[in-house]
Amino acid sequence: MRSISRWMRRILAKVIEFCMKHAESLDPEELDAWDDDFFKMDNSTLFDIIKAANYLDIKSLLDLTCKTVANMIKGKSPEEIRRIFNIKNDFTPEEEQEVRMENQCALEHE
Amino acid sequence: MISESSAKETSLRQDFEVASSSKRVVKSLSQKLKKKGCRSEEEEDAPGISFRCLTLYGRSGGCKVGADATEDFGDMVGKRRSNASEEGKGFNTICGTEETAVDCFSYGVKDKFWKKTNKKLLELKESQRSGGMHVFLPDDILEMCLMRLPVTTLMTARLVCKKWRNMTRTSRFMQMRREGLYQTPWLFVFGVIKDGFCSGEIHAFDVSFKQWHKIDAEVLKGRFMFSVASIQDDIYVIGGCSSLNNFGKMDRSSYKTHKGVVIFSPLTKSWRKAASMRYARSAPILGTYEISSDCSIVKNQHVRQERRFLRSRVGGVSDVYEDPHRLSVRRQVRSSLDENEVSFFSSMKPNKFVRPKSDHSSPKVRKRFVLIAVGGVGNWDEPLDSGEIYDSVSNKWMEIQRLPVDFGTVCSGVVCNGMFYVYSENDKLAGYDIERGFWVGVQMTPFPPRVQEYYPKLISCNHRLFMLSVSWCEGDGQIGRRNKAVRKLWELDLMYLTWTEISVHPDAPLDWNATFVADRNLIFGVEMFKIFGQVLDFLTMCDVSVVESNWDHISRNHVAHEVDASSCLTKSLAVLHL
Repeated sequence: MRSISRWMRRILAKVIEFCMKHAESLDPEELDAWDDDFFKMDNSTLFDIIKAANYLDIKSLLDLTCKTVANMIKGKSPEEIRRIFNIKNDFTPEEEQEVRMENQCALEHE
Repeated sequence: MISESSAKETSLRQDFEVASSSKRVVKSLSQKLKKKGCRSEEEEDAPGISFRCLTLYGRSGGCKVGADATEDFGDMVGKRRSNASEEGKGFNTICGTEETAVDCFSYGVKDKFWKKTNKKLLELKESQRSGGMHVFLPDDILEMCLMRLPVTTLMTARLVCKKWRNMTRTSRFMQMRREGLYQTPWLFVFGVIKDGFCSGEIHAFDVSFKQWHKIDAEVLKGRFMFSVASIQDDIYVIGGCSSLNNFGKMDRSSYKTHKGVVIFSPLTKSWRKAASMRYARSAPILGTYEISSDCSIVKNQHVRQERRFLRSRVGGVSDVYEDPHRLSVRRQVRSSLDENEVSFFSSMKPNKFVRPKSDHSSPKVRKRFVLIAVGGVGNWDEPLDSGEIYDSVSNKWMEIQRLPVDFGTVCSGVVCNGMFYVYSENDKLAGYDIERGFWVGVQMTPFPPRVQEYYPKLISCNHRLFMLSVSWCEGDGQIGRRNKAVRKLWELDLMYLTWTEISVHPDAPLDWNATFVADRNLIFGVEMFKIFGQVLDFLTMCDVSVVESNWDHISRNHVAHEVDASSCLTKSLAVLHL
């Protein structure tokens, strides 16, 4: 029980840190640099912060965290994405080929 | 009731206390197990161990461990008991025994209790042990993240798993992506000619990744001098010519002009047809305008036509004011329309126009728009002054009022704030009021004289009207005045009709047919020209929402490697946000 509340306290502390920084500073460049540094965290913390921001309805934090997650996905192969999110590939080889054909028809990363 | 719950509470509290105090016990128990050679895992911290020991408890249906433990304690207990019996009084048994005894009865509860409270922690431990990341994102948050992906990454995301694929295919998802402004601009260069053949290649440039993609469009092979316009998620390809004798070649000696309209949807890479224009045109000037679904544009013009119909004269050239829609001429033309229209696409196999599978091109989702085509060159090389308007809802073209008589050949046009502005080679500016259906001349302040061969291009973004024009730069005093030509971006103040210089294009204007398009606040330009025996191309971009709007080079010399110099003439550009 003690360990769990430690974890929750840690997440909330991060959220509060973010809110306070964004409240006190208005310089967009400074905030961008600070944000880049702030989001250098492990994925589980990042996801916990997204959920906290969603629950607490902190739009700016939610937007930034979603963008950070999106950036994590950009430029990666499907297998790499699966590894990050711990997702199992539930396509059969035929189904996967079907999706690839669909993508070929559209604009695919060369 | 209260007493019941408090009783429960107290029992829970007791369990809790038992649980926390038994940590110590269990730890020592597990150590004893280890000593006994019982295989247990390496983990040393308390919570994990507690759990495992408890499963032993649970599974063995009782105090196997307890029994073992009591073996050790038993002696002591026995001793104590003996002491106690000697004393004849109940006394506090050693923690261990007392608890094992208690545990025997409540092990199930403790087991469940531990499992529940430690679930998250255990998952964390599990994932740390397995070496992966503990991740869990609820679907609505996952959707928010996926929406922000650029379209090429979105295609990759669809290969991850079935859930991701299904989530990103709904029209709702695409709509939210559009509304959230997560789309990025894509440029499409058409009309590339290779070895004299109209290749039908479309070169798509992803501005955010600065990557080129090539699309082979069978449909466009052999077609040249068509015009393109982007609307919502599609590109309309309108009019154009094709060679009569040498199919596929860009043959300006004998060719046919077309009325046909095809629509390209880049997201699904599919083609479909729209109704053909009333007149065959090559390189018509196009304008697009989104209107509300209950707008009465078409009705207005239709009504006007009906009224006029009664008064029109048959077979005469009528005065513009009496017969604005040239109904007398139309009646003659109508008979010729009954002939078999040799459509460029009649030879196309039907399966080329496949209905896209996914939702996002469903017509129900789309907003109504109109497409205006004026001018261009007709079938007998004559410059046209007629215009027509297309309504997306009715899929029909209707003629609109002709341009004022002395206006001249239209060289550029764009829609801005409900007016279709057109610029002529005689440096005149006129506007067509789309909703009310008539032309007005726009008296603007004098414009700096432009270099004659370079026709200005009109652009509109964010409800502002711009023009790109090449003029002589006032001399630097080097070789002489007017020694340098420069392309400048001007903005027209729509209230006072004055021109203001916004920025100077960095490239020397070597392409007199440089094409410019705009979307949202960005203007994109493509220049292609042959110099020193080589064809070069440049893509530039300018953000007009910024005070100091400068031009950036976003791509150099990609498309033009194998193309003919004639591509400079035939190229056209469209921009879409995908």
